Amino acid sequence: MFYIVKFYKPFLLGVSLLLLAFGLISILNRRFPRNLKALATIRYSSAAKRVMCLLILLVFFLNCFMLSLGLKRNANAEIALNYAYASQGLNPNGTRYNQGDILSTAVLRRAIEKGALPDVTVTDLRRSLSVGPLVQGNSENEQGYFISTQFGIHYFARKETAHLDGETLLTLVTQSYNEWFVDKFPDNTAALKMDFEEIEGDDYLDICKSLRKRAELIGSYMVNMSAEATSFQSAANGETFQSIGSQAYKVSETMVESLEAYVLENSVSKERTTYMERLMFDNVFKHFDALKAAAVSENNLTAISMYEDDMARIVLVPTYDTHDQFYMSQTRIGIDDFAADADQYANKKTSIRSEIATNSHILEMFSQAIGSGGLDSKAELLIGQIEDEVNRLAEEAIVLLEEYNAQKANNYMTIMVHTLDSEAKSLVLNVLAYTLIFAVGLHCAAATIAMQLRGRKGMQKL
Amino acid sequence: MKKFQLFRYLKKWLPLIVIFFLAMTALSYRVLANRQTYTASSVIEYSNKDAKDGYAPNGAKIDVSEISSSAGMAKVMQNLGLSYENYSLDTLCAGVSVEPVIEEQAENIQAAMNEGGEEYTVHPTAYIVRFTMDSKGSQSLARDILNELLDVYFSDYSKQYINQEQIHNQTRNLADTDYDYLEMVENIDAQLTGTVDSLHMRYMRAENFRSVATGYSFSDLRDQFSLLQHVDISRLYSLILGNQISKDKALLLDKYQNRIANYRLDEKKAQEDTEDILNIIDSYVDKMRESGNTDIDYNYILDDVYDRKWLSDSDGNHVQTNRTVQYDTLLRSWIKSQNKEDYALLDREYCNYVIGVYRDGITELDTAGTEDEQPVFEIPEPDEAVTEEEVEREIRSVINRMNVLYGIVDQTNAEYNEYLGAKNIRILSSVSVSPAFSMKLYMGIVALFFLLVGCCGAILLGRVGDILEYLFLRDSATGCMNRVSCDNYIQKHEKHMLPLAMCCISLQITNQHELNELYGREETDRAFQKFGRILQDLFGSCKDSFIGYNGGGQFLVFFEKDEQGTLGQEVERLVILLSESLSDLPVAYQLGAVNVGEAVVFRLRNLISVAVSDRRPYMTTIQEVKTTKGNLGLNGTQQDTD
Repeated sequence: MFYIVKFYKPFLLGVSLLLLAFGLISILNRRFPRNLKALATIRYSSAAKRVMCLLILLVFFLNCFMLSLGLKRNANAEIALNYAYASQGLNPNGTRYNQGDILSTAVLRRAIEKGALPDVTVTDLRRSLSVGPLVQGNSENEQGYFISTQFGIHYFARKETAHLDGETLLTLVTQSYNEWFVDKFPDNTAALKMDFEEIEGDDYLDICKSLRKRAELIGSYMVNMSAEATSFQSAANGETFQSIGSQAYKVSETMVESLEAYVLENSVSKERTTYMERLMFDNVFKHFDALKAAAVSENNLTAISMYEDDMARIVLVPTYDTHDQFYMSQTRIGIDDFAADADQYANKKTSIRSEIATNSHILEMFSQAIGSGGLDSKAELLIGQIEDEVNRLAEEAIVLLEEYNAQKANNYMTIMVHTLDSEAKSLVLNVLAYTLIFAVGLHCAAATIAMQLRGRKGMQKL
Repeated sequence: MKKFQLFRYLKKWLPLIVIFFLAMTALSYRVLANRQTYTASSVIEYSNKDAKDGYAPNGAKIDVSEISSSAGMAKVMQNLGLSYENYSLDTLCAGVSVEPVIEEQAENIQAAMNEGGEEYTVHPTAYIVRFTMDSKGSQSLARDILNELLDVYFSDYSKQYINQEQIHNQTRNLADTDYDYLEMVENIDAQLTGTVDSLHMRYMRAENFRSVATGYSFSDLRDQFSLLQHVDISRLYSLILGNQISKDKALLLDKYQNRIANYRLDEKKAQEDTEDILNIIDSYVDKMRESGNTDIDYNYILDDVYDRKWLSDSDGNHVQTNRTVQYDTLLRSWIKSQNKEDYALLDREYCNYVIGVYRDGITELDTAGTEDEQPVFEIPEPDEAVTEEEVEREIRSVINRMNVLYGIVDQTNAEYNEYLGAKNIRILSSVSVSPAFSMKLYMGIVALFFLLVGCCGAILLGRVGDILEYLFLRDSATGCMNRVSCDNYIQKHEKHMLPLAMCCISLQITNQHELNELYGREETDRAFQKFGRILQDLFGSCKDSFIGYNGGGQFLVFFEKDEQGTLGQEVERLVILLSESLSDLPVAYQLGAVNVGEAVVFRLRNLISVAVSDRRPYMTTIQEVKTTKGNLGLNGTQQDTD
């Protein structure tokens, strides 16, 4: 049946043209003008008329059936990209757009699963589908440069996919592509999914650090998003990226700080001995790091002092400062770099020593406590509150992002699948045209035969 | 000869024309399809600052031939699932070409400057990338391959020329090695320090970048690794050193003793280097002073700032010029050497500390007299001793968490590479594909051509047939088939049983001699011609008809009569037509007609014999004008032969 539908049109056209050629050649062969006139005015016998009408009617009904079947096996759809980067040939995340993704394995597999398409593989679908830009530029001519943002998908049935309806298939494929695109290029919320299980075993001060980092992660994510969509507001909770971001930073600055203060002031620890030992070793390592930083800083300072006055000259250069005011700058020489390095390592040394001092402070506080530590109900309560707050903010951030993604996703692309209804006009025209061609061919051939028969009879009468 | 009738020939050869047309069109389609090629092309532009000088962001020379590298194409084949059985990697690579797009204006400037004696070369930033595929492929495949090739190139370009610092997870399988626990943690610590620094650098370069694949920014990842280092690694150090956990304590102590010896050697070498550099500095300064090069005043200062130029190194790469004075370089070397010496000393102290911990159980570090002097805290004894298994489990847990994080880093980094690639290489025109020639147009032309050739061939064949027939098989005087044709016809049909409808007419002109004498040869020829034409008009359209002139005034006509008429009627019609046509010429003839069915004669020769024997005399006219020259009989009537 597949091949009958596939070759029906060329077969019918071939037969019609052969009949037409046979008729016309015979008519033009002898008594040309008279035969042509006869062709227009010929009258068939009623039997011949009946047979011819029957044949034309048969072909008409066959056309209605076969051409509509053929139309179902060929379908078209269009995808137009609407987001800002599309006109630069980029994806929404700034990477290069590749139209080949429309027929990627992931998209086609999704279409098969979505439509529960029976007995079809990704390879079958890929062979039956093609994609190309609706308008393509001309790379050979600068005036012809063009970045395509509209793509056409064409479905032409093969034997393996002949049982599928073209319109349904293209709807599935385009929808799957849209979903895949929306899944691939939204602002991913995976980083906002908070899992506190992995820090449950940590000591309280470590939990403080982890909670602070998580709150800050939400804060920085939201601040980044706020730069992209300042005025976007959640319809669900009225939050904006800015508001959630500032709440997250507040959690870090106030709630986590409170917990930290409570833990330190009350020397709360789950395993105080282990924690103190850890801080002590940490201080040992930091001590070595501080010494290294101090040594580098000292060496640079020594180099500055060694620098001979007459080995380089500083020249003043008129320039501008950061306020766009005239400023007399000087050319750089070695001691500038040595000073910068000395400063950098001195800062590093100071920073490490500050950490050592913090560790020492904790050690001092913990050494005054009695016992080896254990779970503290108030600390646990405070941690629970912070976790709840961080979770709440993360969930609100996810809701906000999903709303924002949904809004963006609606504008990513426009999809149009040419339905059978929209093709109805062309189907009717096709049916009529093919029937007409056949009728004309049949008439020509029949008229030729009739004329030959009558000619012989005429001679006999004579 | 027959008249030239175009449509007669076409009708006669119609089946052959159709077969020829279809066969040649199909053959042409095959030939054209095999010669078809598809060229996909796109225009890209390198948009980094130094691209106009031909350099990538890291100063390396832009090499567009990398677009067609086999490594890139292999990735394309893998991504598109193209098998090596069906496609050759070399053929695909050979199909790629990159051509610079140089604006006319730039070319003119180059020409003008070169003419003026200045050396100037235009470095194009835009290139047309083409990929040509032979008939094995299709338009969409050519497009897909070029699209994928550009994707791969953008990503590779970014990796190679922009985002060069790679983050490798070198501790993935560390737990399965023979390292001691302390060494494992030291390795993890060093790895984490490098990763944190690298991620921080990336964050500084792209503060707003956040991967859509993972949802993480570089700062998020940096913080995750940093937390791991500060919490878990610190705990691991404490567990291992605090409990002196080791796989083989003696071996570990030997290793650290060996390290101390190596650091001592490093320190000594650094001391020697420092002394050497100091000697060089002293000599250099003395000489500069002696030569008067230190007495620099404003007269030595250039009016203009010296051009900041890029230089090419031996590999042709773009490197920034370094005009640091030698004195500064020497002092830098001194600092470096001094740092090495100090580091070696401190690392030696660290090793001593580790040895002290493992050998003597002294965990406190003597910091007295240093800026980090710390009070000694009383740490209570732990409740339970930590076992090796516990430490190993902890290490594995940390490595597993690191592996997960490195997986996220890899994904984020891959997307970052694509992002950087697209940022540094702009697409000016997306991929367009054009076939070498329009198949539809060519097939249309070819089909029309073969239709015309078929028709012309049919006409030619038909006409040649006419000519040959006229020359060899027709009698020129009567226009009927000649004697040879008659013989051939008889020979061909004599062995076959004749159909019942077959008829034979034998017509013999009996007064040819008299006609020649009375009316002349021309008139007689005209009469013969008329005979021939009338016979052809009457019987030419009959089924299986044959009208021949057998010489000596004898015509032979064979045909199959249709069911509607009788042979007698046909003969009657012939006689009347002859009489009407030759009313001015008294042609006497004998006519015999016989039908196979009626005569019950089924062999041709017999049929002819019956027709001949059945002949009866006729006369075309009874005009009186001719009677003076001889009584030749009655017009249109049967002569009384008796």
